[in-house]
Amino acid sequence: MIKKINVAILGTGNIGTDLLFKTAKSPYLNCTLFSGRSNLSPGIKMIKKTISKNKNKFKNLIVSSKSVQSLIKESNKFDIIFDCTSAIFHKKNEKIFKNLNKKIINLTPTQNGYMCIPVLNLDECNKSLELNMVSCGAQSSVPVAYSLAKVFKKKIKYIETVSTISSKSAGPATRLNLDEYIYNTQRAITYFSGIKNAKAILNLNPAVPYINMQTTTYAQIKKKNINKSELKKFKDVLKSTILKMTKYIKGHKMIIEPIITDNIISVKTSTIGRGDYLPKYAGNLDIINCAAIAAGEYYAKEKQKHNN
Amino acid sequence: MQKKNKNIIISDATLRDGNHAIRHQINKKQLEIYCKAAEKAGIDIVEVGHGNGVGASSIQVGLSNLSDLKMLETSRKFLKKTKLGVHIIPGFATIQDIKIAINVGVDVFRVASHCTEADITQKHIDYIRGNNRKAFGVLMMSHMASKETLLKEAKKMEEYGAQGVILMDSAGAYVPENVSERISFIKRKLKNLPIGFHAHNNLGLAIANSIEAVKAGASMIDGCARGFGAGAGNAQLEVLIAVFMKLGIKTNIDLYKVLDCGDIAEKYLMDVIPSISSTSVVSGLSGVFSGFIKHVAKQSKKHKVNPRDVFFELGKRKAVAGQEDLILDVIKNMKKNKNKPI
Repeated sequence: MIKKINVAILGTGNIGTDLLFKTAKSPYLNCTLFSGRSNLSPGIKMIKKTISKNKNKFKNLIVSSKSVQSLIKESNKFDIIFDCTSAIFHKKNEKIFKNLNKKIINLTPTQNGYMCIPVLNLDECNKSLELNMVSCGAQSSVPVAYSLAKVFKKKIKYIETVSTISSKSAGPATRLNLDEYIYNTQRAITYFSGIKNAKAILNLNPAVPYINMQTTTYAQIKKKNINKSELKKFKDVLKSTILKMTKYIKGHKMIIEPIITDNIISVKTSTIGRGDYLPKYAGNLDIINCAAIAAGEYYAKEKQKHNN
Repeated sequence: MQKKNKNIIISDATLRDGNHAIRHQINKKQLEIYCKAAEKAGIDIVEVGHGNGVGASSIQVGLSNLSDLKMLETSRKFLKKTKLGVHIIPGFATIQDIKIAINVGVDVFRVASHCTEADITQKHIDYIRGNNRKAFGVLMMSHMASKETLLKEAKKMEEYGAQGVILMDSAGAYVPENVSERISFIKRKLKNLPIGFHAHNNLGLAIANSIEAVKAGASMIDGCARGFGAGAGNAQLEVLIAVFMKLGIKTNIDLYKVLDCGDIAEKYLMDVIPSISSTSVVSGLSGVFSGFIKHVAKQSKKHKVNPRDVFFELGKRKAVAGQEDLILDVIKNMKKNKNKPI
């Protein structure tokens, strides 16, 4: 019998509420505290309504509007904190988090914490107390950048990634933090691929019906001739990387296989969400949440191994 | 109609929008020659840079020949009375890029978003205003939104600190009625906010639409010498000035000198004089960003599909500026569906 690890979710917006639904489906995680700043937040209202209708759902969950204060008060009830607040809020409470001495999975657009792209570095992530989930664009493009670097190594001059997401899925925080999105995504591409020269672009598209998240990643290669064996090797590495990703983000797939134009290789992926709390087109929100859950579950599994 | 004694401000996008037409390959000499001519003509603002603005040099849209810094430094040297302007799209450009432009001495910042997404411009407008530079908001692809939505978005930009808002007909999709309806509506509600208009000539209406904009209350009009701009090009600057003269619409510009700007642009800047190609017509009709034309032409040829079909399909998918990677996706799907048995 698997003993679940208890977690706290701080922030009851779209991201936090969706995470709560995801923990409810997880065989390794159990959410004991769901804490925001207002009882009027749509997330809290919705969860309270769900609980009042069905007493068996979200058993033993404390729903609070006391934010970080409730983390301190209930600190014996969980081992992981998912921070789904804002960059400013996260920084403001750095000290409190530190004193709690819990595993922190940071979903805010700060640069705090060790960057985590589950398909690439879960093992190393267990060494750090705080993880940073970077950005939706990074979760989809960094595995491609990593695969490119693995095969073409020093031949790559420049990497670029362009994500287009549905306007409807971009909340006020995303819109206000576009620059942070760009800086953090570029930083992650450089960290995981070793390519210094990286650029990230984000488009919002308001089309109805709402579009799914799409990401195109380009690499500019120094020499014109990319030989066939390298390209084949890259396709194999990429396919296996994406296959591994689908274990935690099911709706992620390659929609245009690697193409070479002159000295540029491009790959396009799309991400459809699981539709737990957020709609399916919000693949951008789902990919970062699924990655956070994968990181939490890995921590839980490793912790159990050590306890046994 | 135009307020008495207030001249229409002319913003010249030749060295920015025109860069689309030559795949962002403009060089130093070209910048120098044209800036000198614009200064002589008394142009109010000359916009310089990559077609999608600062920070937009990319594989997605096209890599610039010169860095933003080089382009702006070069132009700065030759513009004295004429103000130096840049286009900025958050999502491409960041405050880091704006800092570079401020250091070079850029006077006017035009911060743009797709016409329904004004809130992504808040931080950038705020930063520019905080540094005592002029900031305008730009609503791109404005044919895709209703007048009510455009009003709401323009209002947001005004609240962020924008000292005017420019409606861009980025796809060249407007007919004159669309212009007057939208601009007069916004002007009625936001009386003190200067409104601008940026035309494209896909349907042959760039000049007519610009006149309509002034009649509806716009006080800033964009033009490009010889029409040098993305796709079918923009409102042809020298024609615009001539027609404004004829209509008694005042500007600060010298007619002969602006005619020279046109000749100089033709001689030194362009590979071909902008014309309304059949794909440009389709781009306008389908309401797809004019900057896509070169990309669509290249990919359609490579994959042996009709570029007109590609444009209509992109229109159906409601592509926005910056989504050049959607072109290949559309072509692949067209080919896939074609091969399906009926």
